[in-house]
Amino acid sequence: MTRASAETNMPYIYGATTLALGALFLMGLLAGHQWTTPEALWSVLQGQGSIIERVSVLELRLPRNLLAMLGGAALGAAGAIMQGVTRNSLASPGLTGVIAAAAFGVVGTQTFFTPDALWLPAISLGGGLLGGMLTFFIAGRGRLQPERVVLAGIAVTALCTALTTGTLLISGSEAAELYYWLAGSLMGRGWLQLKLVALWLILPLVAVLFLRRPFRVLQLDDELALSMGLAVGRWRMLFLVLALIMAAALVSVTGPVVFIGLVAPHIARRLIGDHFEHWLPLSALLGGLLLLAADTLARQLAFPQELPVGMLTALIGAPWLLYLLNSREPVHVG
Amino acid sequence: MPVDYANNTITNGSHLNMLFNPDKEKIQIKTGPGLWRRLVISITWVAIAFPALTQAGDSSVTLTDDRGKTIELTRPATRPAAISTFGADVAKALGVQPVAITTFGLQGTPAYLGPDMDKVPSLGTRHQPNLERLSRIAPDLVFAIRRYTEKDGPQIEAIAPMVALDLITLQDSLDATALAGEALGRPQQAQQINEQFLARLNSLAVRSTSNRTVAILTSGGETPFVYYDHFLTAALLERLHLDNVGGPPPNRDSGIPLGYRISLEALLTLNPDVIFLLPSNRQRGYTLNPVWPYLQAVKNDQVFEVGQHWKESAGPIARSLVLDDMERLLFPDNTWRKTSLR
Repeated sequence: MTRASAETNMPYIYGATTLALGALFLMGLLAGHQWTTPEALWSVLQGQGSIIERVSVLELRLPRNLLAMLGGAALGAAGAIMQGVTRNSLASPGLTGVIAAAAFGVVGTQTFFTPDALWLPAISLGGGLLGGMLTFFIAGRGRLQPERVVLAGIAVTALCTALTTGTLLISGSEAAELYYWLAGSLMGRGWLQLKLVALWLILPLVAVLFLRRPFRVLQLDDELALSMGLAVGRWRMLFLVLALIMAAALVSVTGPVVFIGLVAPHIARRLIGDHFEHWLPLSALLGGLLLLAADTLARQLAFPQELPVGMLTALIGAPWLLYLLNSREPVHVG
Repeated sequence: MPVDYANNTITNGSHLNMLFNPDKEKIQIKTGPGLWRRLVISITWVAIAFPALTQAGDSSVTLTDDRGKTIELTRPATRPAAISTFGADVAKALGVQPVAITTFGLQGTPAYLGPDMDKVPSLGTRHQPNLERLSRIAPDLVFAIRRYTEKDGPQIEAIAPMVALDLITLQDSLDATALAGEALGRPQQAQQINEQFLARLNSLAVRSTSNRTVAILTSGGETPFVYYDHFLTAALLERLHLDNVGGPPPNRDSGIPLGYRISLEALLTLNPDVIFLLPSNRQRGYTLNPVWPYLQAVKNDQVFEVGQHWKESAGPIARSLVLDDMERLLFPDNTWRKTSLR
């Protein structure tokens, strides 16, 4: 895709993505154990309809859709940051160690202290942030070299995964619950979870969307970026911190949801060509679209049960990863 | 067994002599009004003790467990280990003290079996029993749950004969109790326990006229797990004319899975009249969901927290306690009669 044609196509790309997102959101409001008709949905939105329809739409499907859309957007943006900052096409939010650390936080705390469900998002968020900070602490010498971040993230992830596995072995009757949480799911999540993490998702997301210019410059060679007056190390750190906050916040209420942060930035990257200023917003839009689609499918495929959405995103993401391994597309401005 | 009524002693078997006359002093026959009374007491005593003693005799036992495997015991087991609470429960119901037990959910030891269970060595969880400890205890039989111990079967059988049981459905419970009766040399007692339980269940079913819907939920997370119809406690509710919203299992032959994660939306649509909550060690996430108060059972104050014995209810004592709970909670207008085995 040439630069000129990509620029011309951007309104269409945004328009089509937004339209698809809106259609999926609507479908998410209609789809359920018993599908709601568009007429019934309209009645519900006007404050009418049966109690079951009102509760199903307003208390279950609406907050869940919003969480999927917002969480997916956060994962998409976080993935673009990871791939852009580390200049690694296989990077994803999980690479900062945040997801593994958040998972260990939940598994460890539930096994040894058995806190109420209300505390779990806070524990997971704290675990994820600690894991991410440990990664940056290990990697953070000098200008925060991308390779060091990746290697430190792999080390922290391996450590937390090993600790999680060890803890699961001694978690006894809680093991089944924890395995289910580790599969990643939006099932049963509603306004409560959305309220808990909304600010942690929205603020960093808005911030990164406003910081498109420095992000674009970060894609350039370090010396060139420095010559343009950008404090490369600080900006890298800022973007990575924002990415890990978004990832940790989502994981705290859904459990690990993998591959959205890998796939969405790649699709966006192919659509935008060299227009890196569009990478973050389009990745966010596509991330929201993908997670919403996966969750809507997860609610319907194994009726009357639900599939963990993390399993579906992995089913989508794994073939994409294999495709990536066989492709030789450029992934950053060198 | 010959009884020397003239001397008022049992003459066959030294251990029986010890039981009846520890000092091995022959009781002198006395004349007068006490003679007949003593004679009647002795005959009654022997009549009561004889069947129980012969049940625990030295005859070999052949068992077929739920794997279809034949287990030969040279004599009825006297030192059973329980890698499932069922084993401890059925042993206690039949008057035999288990030599080892596994943990009972969040409680550790199954308190419903009485305080003496605290003294029985624990093997840890039923899916990962401490086999080294089991080996040191040296039981003469192991009661295990098939799905948890299949992988460790050969190691356990190297320590002691093992009966692996399904323990999912009502029929599993009845069959396993009968099998345990054979294994412990008390088949008639086990049969009697089963018959009494079924009679009580049937009498409760006759008294139950309602056609309410019910759900048995477990989990401490955001999404509850609901049991299928074949799960023992759900099956008991069905027998009492309550309709379990969990529905029939997809694989009735294997019995696995026991249930599924039900979305709150599905639960709201099915809207059970009664909900039983199995134990959780923390506040259940799904009860905090805004949907929870809209459920019929919640609105009508028909949500009941029940004990771990509902989850591991195959034992004769546990299932009897479950019936107690059902009678008390579902038929509060009826006079509650305490008829449990304890």
